[in-house]
Amino acid sequence: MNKQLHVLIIENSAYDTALALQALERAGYDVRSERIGTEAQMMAALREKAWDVILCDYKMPFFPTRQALDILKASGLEIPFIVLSRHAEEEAAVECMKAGASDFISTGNLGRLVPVIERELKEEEERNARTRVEKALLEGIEREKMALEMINRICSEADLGSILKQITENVGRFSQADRCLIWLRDPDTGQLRLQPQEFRSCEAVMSIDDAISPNRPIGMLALNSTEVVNLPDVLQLETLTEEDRQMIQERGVKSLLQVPIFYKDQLLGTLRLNSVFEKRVWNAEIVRLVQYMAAQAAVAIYQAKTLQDLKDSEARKAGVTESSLDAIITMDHTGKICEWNASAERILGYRREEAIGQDMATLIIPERYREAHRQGLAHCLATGEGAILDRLLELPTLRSDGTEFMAELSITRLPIAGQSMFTGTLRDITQRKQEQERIEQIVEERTAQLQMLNKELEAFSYSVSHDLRAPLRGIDGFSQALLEGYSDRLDERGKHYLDRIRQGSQQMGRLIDDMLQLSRLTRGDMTLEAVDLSMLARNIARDLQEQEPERCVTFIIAEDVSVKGDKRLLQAVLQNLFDNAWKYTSRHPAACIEFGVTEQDGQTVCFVRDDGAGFDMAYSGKLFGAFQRLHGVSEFPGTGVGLATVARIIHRHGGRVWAQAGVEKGAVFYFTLGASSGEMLPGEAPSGATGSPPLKKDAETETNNKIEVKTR
Amino acid sequence: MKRHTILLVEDNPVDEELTIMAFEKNNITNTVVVARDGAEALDYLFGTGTYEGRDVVGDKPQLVLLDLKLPKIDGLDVLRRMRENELTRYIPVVVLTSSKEQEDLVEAYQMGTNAYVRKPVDFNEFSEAVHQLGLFWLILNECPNVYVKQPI
Repeated sequence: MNKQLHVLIIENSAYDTALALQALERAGYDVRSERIGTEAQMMAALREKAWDVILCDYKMPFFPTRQALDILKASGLEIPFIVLSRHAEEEAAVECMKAGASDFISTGNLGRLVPVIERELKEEEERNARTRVEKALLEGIEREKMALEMINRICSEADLGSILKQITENVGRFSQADRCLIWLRDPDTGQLRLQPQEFRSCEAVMSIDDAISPNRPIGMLALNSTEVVNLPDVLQLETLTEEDRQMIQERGVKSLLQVPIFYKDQLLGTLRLNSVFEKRVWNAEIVRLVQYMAAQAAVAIYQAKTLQDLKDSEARKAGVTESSLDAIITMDHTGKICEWNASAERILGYRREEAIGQDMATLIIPERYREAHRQGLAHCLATGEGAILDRLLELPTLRSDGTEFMAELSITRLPIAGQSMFTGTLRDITQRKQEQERIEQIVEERTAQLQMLNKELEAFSYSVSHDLRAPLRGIDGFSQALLEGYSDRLDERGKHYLDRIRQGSQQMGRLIDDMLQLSRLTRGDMTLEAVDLSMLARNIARDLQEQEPERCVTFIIAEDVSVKGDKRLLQAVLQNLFDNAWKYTSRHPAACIEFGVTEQDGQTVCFVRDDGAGFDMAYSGKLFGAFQRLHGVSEFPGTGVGLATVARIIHRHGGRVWAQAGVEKGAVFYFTLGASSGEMLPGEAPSGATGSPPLKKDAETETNNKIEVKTR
Repeated sequence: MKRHTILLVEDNPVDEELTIMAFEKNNITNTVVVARDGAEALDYLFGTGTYEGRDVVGDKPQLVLLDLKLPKIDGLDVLRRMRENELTRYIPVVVLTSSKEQEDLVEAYQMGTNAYVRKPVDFNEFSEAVHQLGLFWLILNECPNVYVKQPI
């Protein structure tokens, strides 16, 4: 393969250089040469063609070598210039070399020509390469300089809008785009929004971006691409729809470059360049610089956004502080006020500018508390602890007019920049205090009324016990007097009627007594203490057995059942339940009465169980009502107050009472004592040895038949 | 042996008659003076009002049966005044009432009653109570003989 070699020859006769050309051809060059002889010819040749080497005959009669060298120099071209001479004249050689010739070869020594040319070509090539690099380097530096300038300009802007404007302007101009736009990503929705700050090379420029919406991404031009998209010819894009193509053509967009804006790993948005008037190839270096600019822009955008967020948050906070109904006051460690919101102005009467910088204590703390406040502050600063911090306080506070009001306030310490700041939230509670006092007064009045009512009630029951019984005594007494003193004048029927009268009056006497007991039990204060129910039950059982020693009744009483409650009242509960059990087993030759505790629904439940007459659950609703009886007096005597008394007492303890029974199947009365008063004391779990839980004859019946007495 | 007077302070005529009936039934033959309110009882005891000039020292009641709920001056007040006065300080007083209120019981004993009996509705029981009272306070019980020249 022959290398083409363009040779410009300066001489008069072809003969002298023919040998030189021959030598070059022999060396494998495909020589294209032109011969000129005048100054004008040389200038034209240099202007019109590119030459690899110039061969010049030293002794041209009208065109000295020296002049040719000057022409070459003036042209600015760097072409190897080799002087050929028939004589090896050293002086001439030195002169030519000085004037800028590459070499001086004697025609007698033409063997040198090819190596010299090769050397010169190589040098030339190296020189060219060096120049190119230098040039590129200079251009690169120029661009970097532009980028830096842009960054400087961006950095000098604080708000996002100005930053975006700087970015689009600078990148647009730098990349020679017709339009430069920025889409920013909404961090909440992730959607990109076209920013109004854009660059246009002239007013008429249109862009694809105006037609893009999240609902209409164009082909693959997904805006949230994390890659650089470089499309010298947008229409070449295969994924475009016909509609897209039409739209692009209408807008005349030809080339497009898209660069993602990243801050760390976060995609902030996309930088878009459009070329409209001509197709443009943004080369790798420009793309790299645009990317670089985008990276710098990202930092600025991120910072601006953060700053904006911070400003927004500050504004919100300030808004909250200002719109707070409470006075919000901040003081520094010296006690000087540094925050004073609108409510503080309203409540305390000082304007913000009056209050700021003042000593807080002097301004709003009544004189008699100031010393205590100063000591407290000093103590808090010295030890870091404050007795009044972070809790609600009520303190008299001074207004600007010297009047005092009751304030509710809370104080928080904020360590700011190594110093303690104290923020107090304060509210005027004068009205609330008045309201409170009014309520207290109402409560007092009501209590007094209630106490009066109670007194009246007591007087009433006193009268009942005193006055109702007196006529009964008369009825009974005179009936008896008739029976005794006039029996000879009364027949049997008459005597029987008098007996009936006496029975009636005595029954009524018992009713009155029971009623009084019931009302006494529900009045008066309860004294809560540990009550040993087992002991109470044992005593009651013993008394019952002593009263009727002939009866055969087995008592099973659980040990160590202890509860918290009123002893006198609980005694009455057990007494009534045992009395009932005793009474309703009286018709059975042998009976068993049991007291114990069991678990129901995770709750400890006491019970008194008998195997006596029981009752029909159908009538259980009447069980706990006063004067309600499920048995006739002739069958079992009683007034129907006992269980009502039990229920009242259990309810006063916050507990529940219910029963379960069947006719001639006995009855079980369960009761719990409420959490407040009747908690089972530790160590009284049901003890299997002495208090077996109630036998569950039929689980379903049991739940169905459960009676609960609702609280009054 | 001279039968001493029993002062019955009772406003209810039914109870009054029943009490006297019970005395009769139990052969208690002492003179029974009935005062129908507290003021009358004090008049009798101190010789004032309608009892002006009565020999309050020589004819002191041996027993006072005192109801609590009385017109004008109530039973506890009568008791207090009796205990405040040397003349009547040691006269046995039995509160005989319908009330079983703890408060009444406590107050009566604080004022210095010697006994407290609740009148039962059943006449037989009432009669038995009166019998026991008579037996104890009129026959078994001994009282100091203190005479004071200047009453009140």
